[in-house]
Amino acid sequence: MVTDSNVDEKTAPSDNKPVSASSGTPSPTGRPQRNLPGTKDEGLYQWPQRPLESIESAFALREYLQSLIRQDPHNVDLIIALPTGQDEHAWLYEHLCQICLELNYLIVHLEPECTPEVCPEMRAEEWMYYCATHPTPRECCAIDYLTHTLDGASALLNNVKFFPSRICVPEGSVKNFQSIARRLYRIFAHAYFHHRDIFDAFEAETSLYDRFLKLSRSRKLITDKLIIIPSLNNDDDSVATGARQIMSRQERTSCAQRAKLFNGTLVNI
Amino acid sequence: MTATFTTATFITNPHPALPNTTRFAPSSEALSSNRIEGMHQFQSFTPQAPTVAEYAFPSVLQFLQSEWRRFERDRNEWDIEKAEMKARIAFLEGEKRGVDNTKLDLMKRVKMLEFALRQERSKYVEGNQGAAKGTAGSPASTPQVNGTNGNVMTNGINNKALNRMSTYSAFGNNMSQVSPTSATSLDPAGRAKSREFLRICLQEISYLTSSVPQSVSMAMPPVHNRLSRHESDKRAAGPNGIRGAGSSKNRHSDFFPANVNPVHVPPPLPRSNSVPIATLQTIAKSKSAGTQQAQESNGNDTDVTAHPEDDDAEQRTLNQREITRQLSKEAKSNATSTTLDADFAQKNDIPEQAATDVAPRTIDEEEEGPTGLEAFQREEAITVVHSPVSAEQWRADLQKAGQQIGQKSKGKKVEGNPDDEAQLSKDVQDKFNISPERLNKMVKEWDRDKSKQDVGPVKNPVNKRKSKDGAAPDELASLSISETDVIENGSNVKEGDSNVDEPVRWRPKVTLRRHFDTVRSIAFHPTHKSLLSGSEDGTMKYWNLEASLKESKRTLNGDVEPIHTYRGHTKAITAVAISADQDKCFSASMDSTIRSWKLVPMNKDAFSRLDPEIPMSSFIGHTDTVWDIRLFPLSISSSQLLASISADGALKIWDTETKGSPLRSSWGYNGLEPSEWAEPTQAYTSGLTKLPVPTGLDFCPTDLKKMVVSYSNSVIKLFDIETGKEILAFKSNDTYDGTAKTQINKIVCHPTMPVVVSGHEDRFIRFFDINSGASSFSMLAHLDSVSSLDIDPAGLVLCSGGHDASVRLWDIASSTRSCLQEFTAHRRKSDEGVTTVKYHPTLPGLMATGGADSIVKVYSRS
Repeated sequence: MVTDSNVDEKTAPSDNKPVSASSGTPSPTGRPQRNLPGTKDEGLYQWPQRPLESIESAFALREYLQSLIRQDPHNVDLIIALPTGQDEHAWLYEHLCQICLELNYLIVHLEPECTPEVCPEMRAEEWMYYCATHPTPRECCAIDYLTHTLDGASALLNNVKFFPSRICVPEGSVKNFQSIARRLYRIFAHAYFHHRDIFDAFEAETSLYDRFLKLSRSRKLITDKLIIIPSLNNDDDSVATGARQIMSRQERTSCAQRAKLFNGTLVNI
Repeated sequence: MTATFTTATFITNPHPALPNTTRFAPSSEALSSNRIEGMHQFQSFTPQAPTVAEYAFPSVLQFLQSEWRRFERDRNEWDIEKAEMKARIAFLEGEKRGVDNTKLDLMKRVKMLEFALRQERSKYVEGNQGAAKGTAGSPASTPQVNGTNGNVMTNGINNKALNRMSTYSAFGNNMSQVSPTSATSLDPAGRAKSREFLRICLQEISYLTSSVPQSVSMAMPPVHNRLSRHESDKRAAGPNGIRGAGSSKNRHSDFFPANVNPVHVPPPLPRSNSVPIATLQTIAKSKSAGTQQAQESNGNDTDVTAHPEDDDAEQRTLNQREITRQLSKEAKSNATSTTLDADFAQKNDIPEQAATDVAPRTIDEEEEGPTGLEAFQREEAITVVHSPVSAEQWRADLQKAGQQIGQKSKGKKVEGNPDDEAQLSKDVQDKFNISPERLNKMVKEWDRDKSKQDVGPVKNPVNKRKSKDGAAPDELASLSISETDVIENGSNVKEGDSNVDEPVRWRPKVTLRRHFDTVRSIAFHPTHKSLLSGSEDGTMKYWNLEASLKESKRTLNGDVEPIHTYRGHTKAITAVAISADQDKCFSASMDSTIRSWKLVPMNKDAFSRLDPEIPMSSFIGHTDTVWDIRLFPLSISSSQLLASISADGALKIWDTETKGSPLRSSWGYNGLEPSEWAEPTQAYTSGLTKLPVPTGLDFCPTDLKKMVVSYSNSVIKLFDIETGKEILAFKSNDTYDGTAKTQINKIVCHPTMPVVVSGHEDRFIRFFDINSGASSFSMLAHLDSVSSLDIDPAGLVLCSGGHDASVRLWDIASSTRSCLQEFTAHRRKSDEGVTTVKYHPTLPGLMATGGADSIVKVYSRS
C-alpha cells in the first residue's frame, strides 16, 4: 500500500509508526525532522544526526551535509570528506550549493559597508574583475559584482539542463564547477582585502572560506596561482584571538594598500 | 551660421531676379513669411541689402528647413495614426475572437440540443417500431436517409437500422415536421410549457449574441462549472454545513470513493492514488450518508448504462441494431430525461418550421404517437429541470453565502438569463453525460457531415437545413475547432469519455528553481502576475510570471530568473507578504526580525545595479524566531497594519507606515490584560515564554476587528485587535496530546464566512465557527502533517499542503468536503514536503506552492 511506504519513509526505517487515524504515541527516535511553527531558537534543527545511508529523501546528500555543518562548521576536513560510496561530483555539487547559500549571509554582512561609493570597482588586491553575468562583461561596482555573481552561480547550479539530477552530475557539467568556484573565490578575496573585519568575523563563525578553499584545492577547482588570499595559518583554537591580532595588524596594511590602489582618491575607510 | 548667411547674401546678390514661380513653396505666404524672417536676420548683418533679399539663399534654406520640419511633423502624425490603427486592429481582432468564442459556445449548445433531439427521435422510432417498419422503408424517406448517411448505407441494413438512420439525420426535413403538425396534437399545457421554454432559450441566445461578446464569454464560466439545478435544489433545501455556491462538479463527490457503485457516474476523481483518501474519508462518508441517499433518489437522471451507448451511437458504423435496442432501453428507463429532450426538440423545431419544405408527413405522424404520454410526464420532468422557484432560492442562497465581491459584480450582470441558461445546458449535459470533449467532437462531426453532404445528392436534407438556418451554417462551417486530439475513431471516443474527469484541474505551469533551501513562504502580488518567495536560504526572491505564464506549451524549466533577490536576513526566512498599496514587501525571519523592502518594479533587470533604496526598515522587537506575518486586509495610505507571531510567545501588531515607533501592541497567550496596557512588565514578558507559543494567525475578513491565533497547545483564540482582549477560545484541541506532534501548524480564515480552518500536525484539517468556536467539521486530510492551507478567493475550495509532499484541493462548499484533486507537488527533504500553498488573491486560475525541495511551482487551471 502506498500509504505505508510513505509514512515509513517519514519516520525513519527503524521505527514503525502506526498509520491509524489518531497519531500514535511519539516514538523515542521518530521525531520528525522538521521545524514546526512556534519552535524556539534553541529547538531549531535539534534532531539527531542520521547516518547518510538512513536518509531516504531525494536530498540525502544535502541533508547530510547540512547536518554536518550544523554540528560543527569548523570541522572542515570532516565536512568536505567524501562520504563512502557517494559520487564525487554530486558531493561537490552539494558543497557548492551550500557555499552559495552561506555566501548570501556574507553579502548581507558586507552590504552596509561595501557600498558603490566605497567600492566602486570590484577589486581584490591589485586585481580587478569584470562582471561576467552580463552579455558582455561589465565593470560593476563591488556589491553588484558580488550579488550578480552569486545570482549567476545559483542560476547555473539550479539549471536542470546542466544539473538534472542530484545523484550524478553529467560529465559535461563538471567543468562548470571550476568557473563557479573561480568566481566565488573572488567574493572571498574582495571581502578579505577590502572588508577584512567582516571577513574575519564571518570566518570565525562559519569557517566558510576555509571549507571552500580546502574543497577547491582538493578537487582542483582553482589553480594555485589564482589564490591570492594568504593562507590563514591559524591553528584552530586560537582562531579568535589570532584573527583579531591579524585583523588589527593587517587592517592598517590593507588600508594603506587601498589608499595606494585608489591613488589617494578614497582613503577614508 | 552668421558667416554663412553673410556669404550667402553675397552670392545671391548678383541674381536679384529669381523667377517668381516659387517652386519650393506650396503657398507664397509661407515663403514670404520665411523670407521676412530671413531678411530680418540678414539685415542685421548687411543693412544695405534689403532690396535683394527676395529668394536669398538663407531664406530658401530656412524655407527648406521649415518644410522639412513640417514633413517630419506629418510623418510623426502618420506614425501615431498608424499606431492607433494598429491598436484598433488589435482591438477588433480581440473582439472577433470574443465573437468566435461565443459562437463556439453557441454551437456547442446547438449540438447539445441536437443530440437531445436525436435521442428523442430514436425513442419515437422505437416506440413505434411496428408501424415504423413500413414508414422507414417507404420510398419517401429512403433516399433522404441515404443522402444523409450515404457512407454507411452501402450495405443492406434492415428496417430497424433504417429507422435509426433516420433519427440520426438530425436536421433532416422529417424532423422539421415535428412541431408544426405535432404541436396541434399536443395537449395545451405541454405546449405552453414548451413555448415558455423556447422563449427563455431565445432570450438567452439573444442575450449572448447581442452584448459585448468577449466580456460575455469571459463572464460565462466554463459549461461544466455551472451549477446544476439539482445541486441548487439540494442546496436550497440542505440545512447543514457551509452553504456556499458550489460548482456542480462536486455533485458526485458524495459517492467517493465511487467505484463501489457503478450506477452513478462519478467522474473519476483526478487523483493518483485513491486508497489513502478513501480511508481518510471514512468520517466524511459516514457523515454524508444521509445526504447521499437523498441525492441518489434525486439525481436519478444520470444513467450510466445509457452513457456508453450514446457514444457508440456517434459511431454509426457500429452495430446499429444493438444500439437501437439499447437506446430504446434507455429511452424507457430514462423517461424524465427524454421529456426534457422533447422540450429541446420543440425548441429546435421552430426555426425549421419557418422554412417549410416538402417532406413526407407519414413519419412524423407515426412518431407522434407517444407524445401524449410524454406530455404527461413532462409535467413532472420540467419542474425538476426548470423550476424558477428553486432558481430564486438558489440565487438567494448564493448571495447569502456572500460570494466574493468581484464575482458578485460579475454575477450580477449575468444574473438573469445566463443563470437559467447555464442550468439548462448543464442539465442537458448531465442528462446525456456530454463531456466538453464530446461536445466539441459533436460539433466537429457535424461540420464534417455537412461538408460531406454538401457534395452529396441534391435532394439532401442538409442542404435544406442550410437554407433553413440561413447564413448561420456558413459561418458555423468556418468554425475551426482545432481539437487535435479529437480524432474520429472508437478508441478516442472512449478515451474522451474517460476524460470526463473534473475538467477543472490544476496543472503545473512554471517551475521556479533558484532557491538553495526549503521555500518557506509565498506571497502573490494582489494584482500582478508576480510572486515573492521566501526561503530557508535566507533570501527572498521576487518573480515576474507575466512572460512565463504566457508560454503556452513548454514550461520554462528553471529558466525563469527572479527579478530581484532580497538579501538582508541573517537566518532563514519564514514568512513573506506583499503590500501593493504601499509598494512594499515584508519578510520575517529566524533572526527575530521583520524587514520591509521596496517592491522592485516588474520590469527590473535581474542583473541591474543595486538600488540602495530597497531595504527600508526592520521591525525589531521579537526575541525569537518570527514564524509568521500577516498584513491587515485593509490598508490606507497612512497606515498598514502587520501582525507577527514569534516563538517568544508574543503576537505583535505593527503599523508599518508610521513615522514613530511602529509597534502598536503586543500580547501573549492570555491576551492583553488591562494592567499590561501601559507597559509590559518584565515578569510578563518572561512569563510569556512559558506559555504556549503562537503557531499561526490570521485576520478575520468577515469581522475586521478580530483576529485568530493558534497556539502550540492546539488552541485557537479569537482576539480583539484594538484591545488585545481574548474574546473566545475555540475547542480545537481535541487530539492535543501535550506534544508538538499534535499542534496546529496553520490557520486561515474563510474570505466570506465566519469560518476558520486549521491544519494540524497530526494530519487533521478542522473547520470552526468563529462565532461559537465549535468545530463544524474535522477530517484526516493528509498522510503526514498538514503544513499549509489557503482558501481560494471565491471561498469554494480549500487548498492544503502537507509534509507528505502532496497538495490537495477540498471542496468546502459541499457538506462533505470531498477531495477534488490531489497531486504530488514537491519532493521531501528532512521530513518536510509542501511547505506553503497560495492562491492568487485576485486572478482566478493561478496558484503556487513551495516545498522543501527549494522549488516554487506555479499552477494554472486548465
